[in-house]
Amino acid sequence: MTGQTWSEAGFGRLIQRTLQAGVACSVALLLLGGVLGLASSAASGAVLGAGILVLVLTPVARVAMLIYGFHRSGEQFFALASLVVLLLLALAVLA
Amino acid sequence: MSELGLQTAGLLAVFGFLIGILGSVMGVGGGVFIVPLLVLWLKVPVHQAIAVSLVAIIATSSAVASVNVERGLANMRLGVVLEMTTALGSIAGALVSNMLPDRVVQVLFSLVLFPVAVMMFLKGLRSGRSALQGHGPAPPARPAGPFDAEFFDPSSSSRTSYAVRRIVPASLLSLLGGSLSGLLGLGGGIIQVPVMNLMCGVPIKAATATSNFLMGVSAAASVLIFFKRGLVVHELAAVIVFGVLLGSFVGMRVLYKAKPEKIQMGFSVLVILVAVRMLAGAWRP
Repeated sequence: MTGQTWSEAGFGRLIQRTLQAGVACSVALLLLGGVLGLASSAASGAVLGAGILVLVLTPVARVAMLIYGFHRSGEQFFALASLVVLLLLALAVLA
Repeated sequence: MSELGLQTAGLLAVFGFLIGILGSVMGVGGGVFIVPLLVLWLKVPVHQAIAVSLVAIIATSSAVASVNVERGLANMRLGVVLEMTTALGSIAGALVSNMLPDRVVQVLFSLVLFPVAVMMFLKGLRSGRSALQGHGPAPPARPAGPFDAEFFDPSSSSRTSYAVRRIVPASLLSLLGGSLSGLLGLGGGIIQVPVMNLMCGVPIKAATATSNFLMGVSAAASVLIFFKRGLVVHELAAVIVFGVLLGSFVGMRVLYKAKPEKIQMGFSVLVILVAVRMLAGAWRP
Protein backbone atom coordinates (compact mmCIF):
# COMPACT_ATOMS: atom_id res chain seq x y z
CA MET A 1 0.00 0.00 0.00
CA THR A 2 1.32 3.44 -0.85
CA GLY A 3 -0.15 6.46 0.88
CA GLN A 4 -3.44 6.78 2.72
CA THR A 5 -5.58 7.66 -0.29
CA TRP A 6 -5.14 4.28 -1.99
CA SER A 7 -6.84 1.50 -0.03
CA GLU A 8 -8.21 -1.94 -0.85
CA ALA A 9 -11.70 -0.42 -0.68
CA GLY A 10 -10.68 2.33 -3.10
CA PHE A 11 -9.29 -0.28 -5.47
CA GLY A 12 -12.57 -2.21 -5.24
CA ARG A 13 -14.52 0.96 -6.01
CA LEU A 14 -12.34 1.71 -9.05
CA ILE A 15 -13.04 -1.77 -10.46
CA GLN A 16 -16.72 -1.46 -9.55
CA ARG A 17 -17.03 1.91 -11.32
CA THR A 18 -15.22 0.66 -14.41
CA LEU A 19 -17.63 -2.26 -14.73
CA GLN A 20 -20.69 -0.13 -13.98
CA ALA A 21 -19.67 2.52 -16.53
CA GLY A 22 -19.18 -0.14 -19.20
CA VAL A 23 -22.52 -1.79 -18.53
CA ALA A 24 -24.32 1.58 -18.37
CA CYS A 25 -22.86 2.79 -21.70
CA SER A 26 -23.69 -0.52 -23.32
CA VAL A 27 -27.27 -0.56 -22.02
CA ALA A 28 -27.79 3.04 -23.19
CA LEU A 29 -26.59 2.13 -26.70
CA LEU A 30 -28.67 -1.08 -26.77
CA LEU A 31 -31.77 0.87 -25.66
CA LEU A 32 -31.15 3.47 -28.35
CA GLY A 33 -30.63 0.71 -30.91
CA GLY A 34 -33.87 -0.95 -29.81
CA VAL A 35 -35.83 2.30 -30.14
CA LEU A 36 -34.31 2.93 -33.58
CA GLY A 37 -35.23 -0.64 -34.52
CA LEU A 38 -38.85 -0.10 -33.50
CA ALA A 39 -38.82 3.07 -35.62
CA SER A 40 -37.45 0.95 -38.49
CA SER A 41 -34.33 3.11 -38.70
CA ALA A 42 -31.41 1.81 -40.72
CA ALA A 43 -29.00 2.94 -37.97
CA SER A 44 -30.43 0.41 -35.50
CA GLY A 45 -28.06 -2.44 -36.38
CA ALA A 46 -24.95 -0.29 -36.13
CA VAL A 47 -25.99 1.19 -32.76
CA LEU A 48 -26.80 -2.29 -31.36
CA GLY A 49 -23.43 -3.50 -32.64
CA ALA A 50 -21.69 -0.59 -30.88
CA GLY A 51 -23.57 -1.42 -27.65
CA ILE A 52 -22.42 -5.03 -27.82
CA LEU A 53 -18.84 -3.99 -28.57
CA VAL A 54 -18.81 -1.67 -25.54
CA LEU A 55 -20.08 -4.56 -23.40
CA VAL A 56 -17.40 -6.92 -24.74
CA LEU A 57 -14.69 -4.31 -24.07
CA THR A 58 -15.87 -3.76 -20.47
CA PRO A 59 -13.89 -6.72 -19.02
CA VAL A 60 -10.89 -5.56 -21.09
CA ALA A 61 -11.09 -2.12 -19.43
CA ARG A 62 -11.44 -3.85 -16.05
CA VAL A 63 -8.20 -5.78 -16.66
CA ALA A 64 -6.42 -2.53 -17.59
CA MET A 65 -7.65 -1.00 -14.31
CA LEU A 66 -6.35 -4.05 -12.41
CA ILE A 67 -2.88 -3.42 -13.85
CA TYR A 68 -3.04 0.18 -12.62
CA GLY A 69 -4.51 -0.76 -9.23
CA PHE A 70 -2.09 -3.57 -8.41
CA HIS A 71 0.84 -1.48 -9.60
CA ARG A 72 -0.26 1.36 -7.35
CA SER A 73 -0.65 -1.04 -4.42
CA GLY A 74 2.93 -2.20 -4.99
CA GLU A 75 1.72 -5.73 -5.80
CA GLN A 76 3.83 -6.17 -8.91
CA PHE A 77 3.18 -9.90 -9.22
CA PHE A 78 -0.55 -9.30 -9.61
CA ALA A 79 0.06 -6.30 -11.89
CA LEU A 80 2.13 -8.59 -14.12
CA ALA A 81 -0.58 -11.30 -14.04
CA SER A 82 -3.13 -8.66 -15.12
CA LEU A 83 -0.81 -7.54 -17.92
CA VAL A 84 -0.54 -11.13 -19.17
CA VAL A 85 -4.36 -11.33 -19.23
CA LEU A 86 -4.55 -8.06 -21.19
CA LEU A 87 -2.01 -9.38 -23.72
CA LEU A 88 -4.08 -12.58 -24.10
CA LEU A 89 -7.17 -10.45 -24.85
CA ALA A 90 -5.15 -8.58 -27.48
CA LEU A 91 -4.14 -11.95 -28.92
CA ALA A 92 -7.84 -12.91 -29.16
CA VAL A 93 -8.49 -9.80 -31.28
CA LEU A 94 -5.72 -10.88 -33.67
CA ALA A 95 -6.64 -14.60 -33.66
CA MET B 1 -36.10 -6.07 -34.02
CA SER B 2 -37.92 -6.77 -37.31
CA GLU B 3 -36.53 -10.28 -37.93
CA LEU B 4 -37.07 -11.31 -34.33
CA GLY B 5 -40.69 -10.22 -33.85
CA LEU B 6 -41.89 -8.25 -30.84
CA GLN B 7 -43.61 -11.19 -29.15
CA THR B 8 -40.59 -13.48 -29.45
CA ALA B 9 -38.33 -10.65 -28.29
CA GLY B 10 -40.55 -10.13 -25.23
CA LEU B 11 -40.56 -13.83 -24.34
CA LEU B 12 -36.81 -14.00 -24.88
CA ALA B 13 -36.31 -11.08 -22.50
CA VAL B 14 -38.43 -12.88 -19.87
CA PHE B 15 -36.38 -16.06 -20.27
CA GLY B 16 -33.23 -13.94 -20.10
CA PHE B 17 -34.53 -12.47 -16.84
CA LEU B 18 -35.04 -15.93 -15.32
CA ILE B 19 -31.64 -17.08 -16.62
CA GLY B 20 -30.06 -13.97 -15.11
CA ILE B 21 -31.49 -14.85 -11.70
CA LEU B 22 -30.34 -18.48 -11.94
CA GLY B 23 -26.97 -17.46 -13.30
CA SER B 24 -26.14 -14.98 -10.59
CA VAL B 25 -27.47 -17.26 -7.83
CA MET B 26 -25.58 -20.35 -8.99
CA GLY B 27 -22.35 -18.89 -10.29
CA VAL B 28 -22.96 -19.96 -13.87
CA GLY B 29 -23.03 -17.13 -16.35
CA GLY B 30 -26.21 -18.62 -17.72
CA GLY B 31 -24.68 -20.31 -20.78
CA VAL B 32 -25.95 -23.63 -19.50
CA PHE B 33 -29.46 -22.29 -20.12
CA ILE B 34 -29.04 -19.70 -22.90
CA VAL B 35 -27.48 -22.02 -25.49
CA PRO B 36 -30.22 -24.72 -25.16
CA LEU B 37 -32.96 -22.06 -25.13
CA LEU B 38 -31.78 -20.53 -28.40
CA VAL B 39 -30.98 -23.85 -30.09
CA LEU B 40 -34.06 -25.82 -29.03
CA TRP B 41 -36.69 -23.05 -29.08
CA LEU B 42 -35.58 -20.54 -31.72
CA LYS B 43 -33.58 -23.06 -33.82
CA VAL B 44 -30.59 -20.70 -33.78
CA PRO B 45 -27.40 -22.38 -35.13
CA VAL B 46 -25.37 -23.50 -32.14
CA HIS B 47 -22.36 -21.27 -32.91
CA GLN B 48 -24.55 -18.17 -32.98
CA ALA B 49 -26.21 -19.33 -29.75
CA ILE B 50 -22.76 -19.70 -28.17
CA ALA B 51 -21.81 -16.17 -29.27
CA VAL B 52 -25.01 -14.69 -27.78
CA SER B 53 -24.44 -16.69 -24.61
CA LEU B 54 -20.91 -15.31 -24.27
CA VAL B 55 -22.18 -11.73 -24.63
CA ALA B 56 -24.79 -12.41 -21.94
CA ILE B 57 -22.10 -13.92 -19.71
CA ILE B 58 -20.06 -10.71 -20.00
CA ALA B 59 -23.13 -8.68 -19.04
CA THR B 60 -23.91 -10.83 -15.98
CA SER B 61 -20.29 -11.01 -14.94
CA SER B 62 -19.76 -7.25 -15.18
CA ALA B 63 -22.99 -6.40 -13.35
CA VAL B 64 -22.58 -8.98 -10.59
CA ALA B 65 -18.83 -8.51 -10.16
CA SER B 66 -19.23 -4.76 -9.75
CA VAL B 67 -21.20 -5.43 -6.57
CA ASN B 68 -19.22 -8.47 -5.36
CA VAL B 69 -15.86 -6.70 -5.66
CA GLU B 70 -17.05 -3.90 -3.41
CA ARG B 71 -18.49 -6.38 -0.88
CA GLY B 72 -15.15 -8.20 -0.83
CA LEU B 73 -16.90 -11.40 -1.95
CA ALA B 74 -14.98 -11.69 -5.23
CA ASN B 75 -11.27 -12.41 -4.71
CA MET B 76 -9.59 -10.20 -7.35
CA ARG B 77 -6.10 -11.63 -6.78
CA LEU B 78 -7.17 -15.23 -7.14
CA GLY B 79 -9.42 -14.16 -10.02
CA VAL B 80 -6.78 -12.48 -12.13
CA VAL B 81 -4.24 -15.29 -11.67
CA LEU B 82 -6.81 -17.87 -12.79
CA GLU B 83 -7.79 -15.56 -15.68
CA MET B 84 -4.36 -16.13 -17.24
CA THR B 85 -5.23 -19.76 -17.91
CA THR B 86 -9.00 -19.35 -18.46
CA ALA B 87 -8.36 -16.69 -21.14
CA LEU B 88 -5.81 -18.93 -22.86
CA GLY B 89 -8.18 -21.92 -22.74
CA SER B 90 -11.03 -19.73 -23.93
CA ILE B 91 -9.14 -18.57 -27.03
CA ALA B 92 -8.14 -22.14 -27.89
CA GLY B 93 -11.70 -23.34 -27.28
CA ALA B 94 -13.21 -20.66 -29.53
CA LEU B 95 -10.81 -21.48 -32.37
CA VAL B 96 -11.60 -25.22 -32.09
CA SER B 97 -15.35 -24.59 -31.79
CA ASN B 98 -15.35 -22.60 -35.03
CA MET B 99 -13.79 -25.57 -36.83
CA LEU B 100 -16.41 -28.10 -35.62
CA PRO B 101 -19.85 -28.71 -37.21
CA ASP B 102 -22.97 -27.53 -35.30
CA ARG B 103 -24.21 -31.01 -34.38
CA VAL B 104 -20.87 -32.08 -32.92
CA VAL B 105 -20.76 -28.96 -30.75
CA GLN B 106 -24.32 -29.59 -29.54
CA VAL B 107 -23.55 -33.20 -28.56
CA LEU B 108 -20.34 -32.07 -26.82
CA PHE B 109 -22.36 -29.44 -24.97
CA SER B 110 -24.85 -32.05 -23.70
CA LEU B 111 -22.18 -34.56 -22.72
CA VAL B 112 -20.16 -32.02 -20.74
CA LEU B 113 -23.20 -31.20 -18.61
CA PHE B 114 -23.70 -34.76 -17.31
CA PRO B 115 -20.52 -35.21 -15.25
CA VAL B 116 -20.83 -31.61 -14.11
CA ALA B 117 -24.36 -32.20 -12.81
CA VAL B 118 -23.42 -35.42 -11.02
CA MET B 119 -20.40 -33.76 -9.43
CA MET B 120 -22.43 -30.80 -8.22
CA PHE B 121 -25.16 -33.08 -6.87
CA LEU B 122 -22.68 -35.11 -4.81
CA LYS B 123 -21.09 -31.92 -3.54
CA GLY B 124 -24.47 -30.51 -2.59
CA LEU B 125 -25.27 -33.66 -0.61
CA ARG B 126 -21.96 -33.52 1.22
CA SER B 127 -22.23 -29.84 2.11
CA GLY B 128 -25.80 -30.46 3.35
CA ARG B 129 -24.46 -33.11 5.74
CA SER B 130 -21.57 -31.00 6.98
CA ALA B 131 -24.00 -28.16 7.59
CA LEU B 132 -26.09 -30.49 9.79
CA GLN B 133 -22.99 -31.44 11.78
CA GLY B 134 -22.25 -27.77 12.13
CA HIS B 135 -19.11 -26.03 10.94
CA GLY B 136 -17.87 -23.69 13.62
CA PRO B 137 -15.84 -20.62 12.70
CA ALA B 138 -12.33 -21.87 11.89
CA PRO B 139 -10.12 -18.90 11.03
CA PRO B 140 -6.80 -20.06 9.53
CA ALA B 141 -3.99 -19.87 12.09
CA ARG B 142 -1.17 -19.86 9.52
CA PRO B 143 0.29 -16.57 8.25
CA ALA B 144 -1.81 -15.00 5.50
CA GLY B 145 -0.81 -15.89 1.92
CA PRO B 146 -1.10 -13.43 -0.96
CA PHE B 147 -4.48 -14.86 -2.05
CA ASP B 148 -6.09 -15.16 1.40
CA ALA B 149 -9.15 -13.03 2.00
CA GLU B 150 -12.24 -12.56 4.10
CA PHE B 151 -15.83 -11.42 3.62
CA PHE B 152 -18.94 -10.75 5.66
CA ASP B 153 -21.56 -13.48 5.33
CA PRO B 154 -25.03 -12.24 6.33
CA SER B 155 -26.54 -15.78 6.32
CA SER B 156 -24.32 -16.65 9.29
CA SER B 157 -23.88 -13.02 10.43
CA SER B 158 -20.13 -13.38 10.71
CA ARG B 159 -16.91 -12.62 8.91
CA THR B 160 -15.55 -15.63 7.05
CA SER B 161 -11.80 -15.65 6.42
CA TYR B 162 -10.11 -18.27 4.31
CA ALA B 163 -6.73 -19.40 3.01
CA VAL B 164 -6.28 -20.27 -0.66
CA ARG B 165 -4.45 -23.56 -1.37
CA ARG B 166 -3.16 -25.40 -4.44
CA ILE B 167 -3.08 -22.46 -6.83
CA VAL B 168 -0.96 -24.25 -9.49
CA PRO B 169 -3.23 -27.28 -10.07
CA ALA B 170 -6.22 -24.93 -9.90
CA SER B 171 -4.67 -22.82 -12.68
CA LEU B 172 -4.20 -25.91 -14.84
CA LEU B 173 -7.83 -26.99 -14.33
CA SER B 174 -8.91 -23.43 -15.15
CA LEU B 175 -7.45 -23.98 -18.59
CA LEU B 176 -10.24 -26.56 -19.00
CA GLY B 177 -12.83 -24.17 -17.54
CA GLY B 178 -11.77 -21.49 -20.01
CA SER B 179 -11.83 -23.85 -22.97
CA LEU B 180 -15.44 -24.79 -22.15
CA SER B 181 -16.26 -21.09 -22.35
CA GLY B 182 -14.86 -20.66 -25.85
CA LEU B 183 -15.88 -24.09 -27.12
CA LEU B 184 -19.45 -24.26 -25.81
CA GLY B 185 -20.44 -20.79 -24.56
CA LEU B 186 -20.46 -21.84 -20.91
CA GLY B 187 -19.16 -19.23 -18.47
CA GLY B 188 -16.83 -21.82 -17.02
CA GLY B 189 -18.40 -21.47 -13.57
CA ILE B 190 -19.25 -25.16 -13.74
CA ILE B 191 -15.52 -25.87 -13.52
CA GLN B 192 -14.29 -22.76 -11.68
CA VAL B 193 -16.67 -22.92 -8.72
CA PRO B 194 -15.83 -26.55 -7.79
CA VAL B 195 -12.11 -25.98 -8.47
CA MET B 196 -11.94 -22.97 -6.15
CA ASN B 197 -14.29 -24.50 -3.58
CA LEU B 198 -13.00 -28.10 -3.39
CA MET B 199 -9.38 -27.69 -4.49
CA CYS B 200 -8.42 -24.23 -3.21
CA GLY B 201 -10.63 -24.27 -0.12
CA VAL B 202 -12.47 -21.06 -1.01
CA PRO B 203 -15.95 -20.88 0.65
CA ILE B 204 -18.72 -21.52 -1.87
CA LYS B 205 -20.02 -17.94 -1.91
CA ALA B 206 -16.59 -16.42 -2.47
CA ALA B 207 -15.86 -19.10 -5.08
CA THR B 208 -19.14 -18.29 -6.84
CA ALA B 209 -18.41 -14.56 -6.77
CA THR B 210 -14.81 -14.98 -7.95
CA SER B 211 -15.95 -17.31 -10.73
CA ASN B 212 -18.46 -14.67 -11.81
CA PHE B 213 -15.68 -12.06 -11.71
CA LEU B 214 -13.27 -14.00 -13.90
CA MET B 215 -15.76 -15.43 -16.40
CA GLY B 216 -16.27 -11.97 -17.94
CA VAL B 217 -12.67 -12.03 -19.14
CA SER B 218 -12.73 -15.61 -20.45
CA ALA B 219 -16.01 -14.90 -22.26
CA ALA B 220 -14.56 -11.67 -23.71
CA ALA B 221 -11.50 -13.55 -25.00
CA SER B 222 -13.62 -16.01 -26.98
CA VAL B 223 -16.43 -13.64 -27.99
CA LEU B 224 -13.87 -11.40 -29.70
CA ILE B 225 -13.14 -14.37 -31.97
CA PHE B 226 -16.86 -15.03 -32.63
CA PHE B 227 -17.45 -11.29 -33.15
CA LYS B 228 -14.83 -11.09 -35.90
CA ARG B 229 -16.50 -13.99 -37.69
CA GLY B 230 -19.87 -12.20 -37.67
CA LEU B 231 -21.50 -14.79 -35.38
CA VAL B 232 -22.91 -12.29 -32.87
CA VAL B 233 -26.54 -11.64 -33.89
CA HIS B 234 -27.12 -8.10 -32.60
CA GLU B 235 -30.89 -8.24 -32.01
CA LEU B 236 -30.77 -11.58 -30.20
CA ALA B 237 -27.82 -10.51 -28.06
CA ALA B 238 -29.43 -7.16 -27.17
CA VAL B 239 -32.72 -8.71 -26.01
CA ILE B 240 -31.02 -11.47 -24.00
CA VAL B 241 -28.61 -8.97 -22.43
CA PHE B 242 -31.52 -6.82 -21.19
CA GLY B 243 -33.30 -9.76 -19.62
CA VAL B 244 -30.17 -11.27 -18.13
CA LEU B 245 -29.00 -7.95 -16.65
CA LEU B 246 -32.34 -7.37 -14.92
CA GLY B 247 -32.35 -10.96 -13.64
CA SER B 248 -28.78 -10.60 -12.37
CA PHE B 249 -29.66 -7.55 -10.31
CA VAL B 250 -32.52 -9.47 -8.69
CA GLY B 251 -30.42 -12.63 -8.31
CA MET B 252 -27.57 -10.82 -6.59
CA ARG B 253 -29.83 -10.06 -3.65
CA VAL B 254 -30.82 -13.72 -3.41
CA LEU B 255 -27.22 -14.89 -3.63
CA TYR B 256 -26.10 -12.67 -0.80
CA LYS B 257 -28.82 -13.99 1.51
CA ALA B 258 -29.17 -17.63 0.41
CA LYS B 259 -27.67 -20.57 2.31
CA PRO B 260 -24.71 -22.03 0.37
CA GLU B 261 -25.98 -25.64 0.20
CA LYS B 262 -29.20 -24.55 -1.48
CA ILE B 263 -27.16 -22.94 -4.25
CA GLN B 264 -25.41 -26.22 -5.02
CA MET B 265 -28.46 -28.50 -4.91
CA GLY B 266 -30.46 -26.27 -7.23
CA PHE B 267 -27.50 -26.11 -9.58
CA SER B 268 -27.15 -29.87 -10.12
CA VAL B 269 -30.83 -30.69 -10.74
CA LEU B 270 -31.21 -27.95 -13.36
CA VAL B 271 -28.05 -28.93 -15.20
CA ILE B 272 -29.27 -32.56 -15.53
CA LEU B 273 -32.61 -31.41 -16.97
CA VAL B 274 -30.90 -29.17 -19.51
CA ALA B 275 -28.39 -31.86 -20.53
CA VAL B 276 -31.17 -34.38 -21.28
CA ARG B 277 -33.16 -31.90 -23.35
CA MET B 278 -30.13 -30.77 -25.30
CA LEU B 279 -28.95 -34.30 -26.08
CA ALA B 280 -32.45 -35.30 -27.20
CA GLY B 281 -32.49 -32.19 -29.40
CA ALA B 282 -29.23 -33.16 -31.11
CA TRP B 283 -30.66 -36.53 -32.27
CA ARG B 284 -33.72 -35.00 -33.89
CA PRO B 285 -33.48 -34.41 -37.65
